Amino acid sequence: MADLVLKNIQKSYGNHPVIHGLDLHIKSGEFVTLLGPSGCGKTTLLRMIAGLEKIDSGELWIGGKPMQGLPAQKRPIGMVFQSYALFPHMNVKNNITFGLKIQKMEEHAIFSKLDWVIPLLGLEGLENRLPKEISGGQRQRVALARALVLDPEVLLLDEPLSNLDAALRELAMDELKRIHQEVGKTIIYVSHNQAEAMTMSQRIAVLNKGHLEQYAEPMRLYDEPASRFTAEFIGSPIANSYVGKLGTHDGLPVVQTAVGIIRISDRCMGHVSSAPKEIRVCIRPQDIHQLKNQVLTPYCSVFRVLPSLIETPGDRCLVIGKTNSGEAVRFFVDRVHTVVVGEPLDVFVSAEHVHLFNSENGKNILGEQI
Amino acid sequence: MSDIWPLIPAAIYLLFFFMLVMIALVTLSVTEGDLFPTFEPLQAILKNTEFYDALINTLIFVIIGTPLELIAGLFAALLVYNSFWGKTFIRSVFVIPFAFPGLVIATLLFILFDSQGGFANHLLQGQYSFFPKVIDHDVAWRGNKFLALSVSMLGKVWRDMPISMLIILSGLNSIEPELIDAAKTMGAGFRARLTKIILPLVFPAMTTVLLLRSVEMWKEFIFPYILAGNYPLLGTLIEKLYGFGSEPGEAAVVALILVGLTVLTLILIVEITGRIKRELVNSGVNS
Amino acid sequence: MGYIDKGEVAKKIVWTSCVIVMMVGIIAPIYLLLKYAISDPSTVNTGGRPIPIWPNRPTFDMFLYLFKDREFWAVVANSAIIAVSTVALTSFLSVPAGYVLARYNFPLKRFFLILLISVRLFPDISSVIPIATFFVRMNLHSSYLSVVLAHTLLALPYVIFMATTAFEFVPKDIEEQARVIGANRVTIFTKILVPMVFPSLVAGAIYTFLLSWDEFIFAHFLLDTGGQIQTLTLYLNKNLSFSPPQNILAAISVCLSVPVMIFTFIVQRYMVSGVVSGAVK
Ligand SMILES: Nc1ncnc2c1ncn2[C@@H]1O[C@H](COP(=O)(O)OP(=O)(O)OP(=O)(O)O)[C@@H](O)[C@H]1O
Ligand SMILES: [Mg+2]
Repeated sequence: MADLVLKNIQKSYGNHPVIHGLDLHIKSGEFVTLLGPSGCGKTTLLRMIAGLEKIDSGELWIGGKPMQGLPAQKRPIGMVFQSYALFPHMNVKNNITFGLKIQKMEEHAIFSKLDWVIPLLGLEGLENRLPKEISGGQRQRVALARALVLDPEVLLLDEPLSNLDAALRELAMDELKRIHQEVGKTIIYVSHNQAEAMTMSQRIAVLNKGHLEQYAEPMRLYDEPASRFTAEFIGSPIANSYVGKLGTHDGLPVVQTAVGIIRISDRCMGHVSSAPKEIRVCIRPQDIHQLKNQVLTPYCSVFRVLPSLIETPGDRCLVIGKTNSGEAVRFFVDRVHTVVVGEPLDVFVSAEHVHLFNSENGKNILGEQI
Repeated sequence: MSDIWPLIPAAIYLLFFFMLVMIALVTLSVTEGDLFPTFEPLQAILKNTEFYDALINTLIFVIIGTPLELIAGLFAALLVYNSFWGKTFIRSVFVIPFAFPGLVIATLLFILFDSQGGFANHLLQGQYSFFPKVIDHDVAWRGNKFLALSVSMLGKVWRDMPISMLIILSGLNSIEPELIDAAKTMGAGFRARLTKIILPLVFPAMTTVLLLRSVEMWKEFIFPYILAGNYPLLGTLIEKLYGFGSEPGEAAVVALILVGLTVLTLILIVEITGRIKRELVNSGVNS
Repeated sequence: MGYIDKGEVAKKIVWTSCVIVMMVGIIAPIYLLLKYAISDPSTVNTGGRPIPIWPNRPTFDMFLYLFKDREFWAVVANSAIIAVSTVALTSFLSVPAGYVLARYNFPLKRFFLILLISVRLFPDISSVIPIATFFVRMNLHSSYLSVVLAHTLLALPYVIFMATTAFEFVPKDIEEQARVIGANRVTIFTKILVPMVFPSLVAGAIYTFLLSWDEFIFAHFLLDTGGQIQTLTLYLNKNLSFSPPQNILAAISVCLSVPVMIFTFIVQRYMVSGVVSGAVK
């Protein structure tokens, strides 16, 4: 089994630390995305796994074997680079068979590999073209084919879709998912695009400035962000964020904010007294709804907003409004004509969608429970 | 068209001298004293055994010297490219020979390879504890064609190595590092990366070196002039005919032959390297 | 992590040995040259005993001897005058040409580029005869001007390439911006473009200076028979044929090399890019 285990991995360039003691366990056959903003250390981490970059301290295991001291060419990995790194002086076929010839594989075995991978990636007819004579999407598939024929235990992909246009990218995402299902390899995929990560991965490791913020399934990341960073990074547009104070109202747990008093989940009850006074409250625009004639549960909090701007990015429109106290509130509504700029309306949010974070370290106050 | 007038002075200057050289060489080569036109200079050269000697010497000089400069430059460039430390420092040291005029190096070799008790003789006779004994008696470095031309070539290659190195180094530096990384992740060790990725990718730079250096080798003058006076190359033969022999017609014939051979060599190199390149693309990494 | 990678260690050992061998091969001859230049007579003429690796009595006598010699200073002055004039003429011709080549496409551009290359392909030793003959006919033989003109011819193709490359790196927007503001063409050229490519132009100028300073063949044919004007290279060559003591030869050689070495070190960066851009194009 090709589990991949990182234990307390650290890395600095000079005296500038890039990865701070990172632990990660990736199960065999899993599709995991390393997600984080530009410069957070994703590529560095991937290159350390590949053996292209030295690990300062910590352990790396692949399939139960320690990787310390093994150069890249001896590790059971395959890698697709952001720039694809196809060899410009070799045609598609020779690019794909490069690694096989290095292994001195027999001619007929090489041919059967080609017969398998070329239709798998839809490269028929391109075998004799040079990299500069094929399109970006085709290059990406050649790079993938080149890694796949070597039958690596772990496949490392560094933002392979970032060079493609939107339409091609969707196609390529489906393709990657299909290939993952067909070959069943462990795949570590690097991205800074949260939508891409959410669609493709089984689990996502959110990285921020060299720290692992959260490692969980996409939906869990969305519903139960472990830190303020995750809450704001996952989902779009950016979540509403307020300063608040924990307390009780009629014996129920609430948070007091400039927007108003907001009912929070019962699970927070235990934290009301222990949590620091000042906390950070995040609510996604998608979780705030216009109050029409729904029946509200006791968990819902209602507040009044004065719309000041309406954007229509798609079938729903984003309303940006202000509360009495002047705080901005962003939320979605279904139809344009139900909201008019300058006409106040009521909106509500349900307690399980109110995320509370420690103001100092940004961690979810529910902490380990998540 | 009115925008390109700043180019005109330079264009006229170059064109004037180019035409001057071309026309004069051709005219001179068919002039003998008052006779014009005549093939006498050509006939004289073709009967001159010294010319054939010089031709063969030069040919050997080019055939051995050009690849030698390529190899020396490639070797130095690879050392700099794969530096573990002090890349800039090492490169600076490797560029030093370029800072010495050819004449200075030729003079130095003239001193070091003195026929009687020069430093080279002392060294090879094992007179210093750090070097083994190779020869018994003093060697007359300038009294022997093979040795005299070898010492000339040594000086030439030493002095010009940095130029080849810099050209190849710029070729190496333009290889995307990710290509090398990709080869590593595909299992290629140092040798495979060198022979299958790096060398094919610096092939254009190597071609440039071959082209430039072969021209320089054909027209080499200084080193053989100082170090191999008795064994002329075509370059030194021209000087001899023009100066001592006062045979400008014959000198011009040799000069034209030299130009012709240079151009021929360039065409040959372009042809051969072009073929190798096509071969590389078609066969890929096939062994 | 504290593990030792054996392959890595072996690679480092091989690499280090190769670098050391190369360095010795490069430094040793230069050391010997400097050693000869500061050697006393007993170090040069050992009467059969091994030549010492370090002079018996290091001395600057040879340099003092040269520096007292009037002829030597005259020769240095000649070399400097010729080199500086060559730089001036070359810059005057090459900078505008480089600008035009970088900015405009015109029907004869190809022809001009081929001309540049062919001038450079001509062996000096073949072109020197007609040029010398021409200068004799023009009564320019054994004059500064003849050598300056010839050296300019040698430097021009390289320096035009360097200037073209430099101007190609200046975005066209900057020029258009200046034009929109209302600057005229001469102002744009002298106040905006030239300052931007100044480092490359300096590199080209230094390259030209060194080429002229080191040049032997043209100086030899254009000056030698007259005998009035000599350059440093001719002076060294003349001494070589008198077979004077080796330490004098070495001292002259060092004087000839010093400016070159200093320049090469100061402007290595520019030199490198200049040589390469000239060569690769
Ligand atoms: N060779 C290097 N030397 C010094 N610092 C480096 C080096 N490579 C990367 N860094 C630094 O390390 C940090 C992480 O870089 P890395 O390339 O891993 O980011 P990334 O998450 O892949 O970003 P992106 O999404 O932009 O590709 C950055 O701050 C970067 O500046
Ligand atoms: Mg990256």
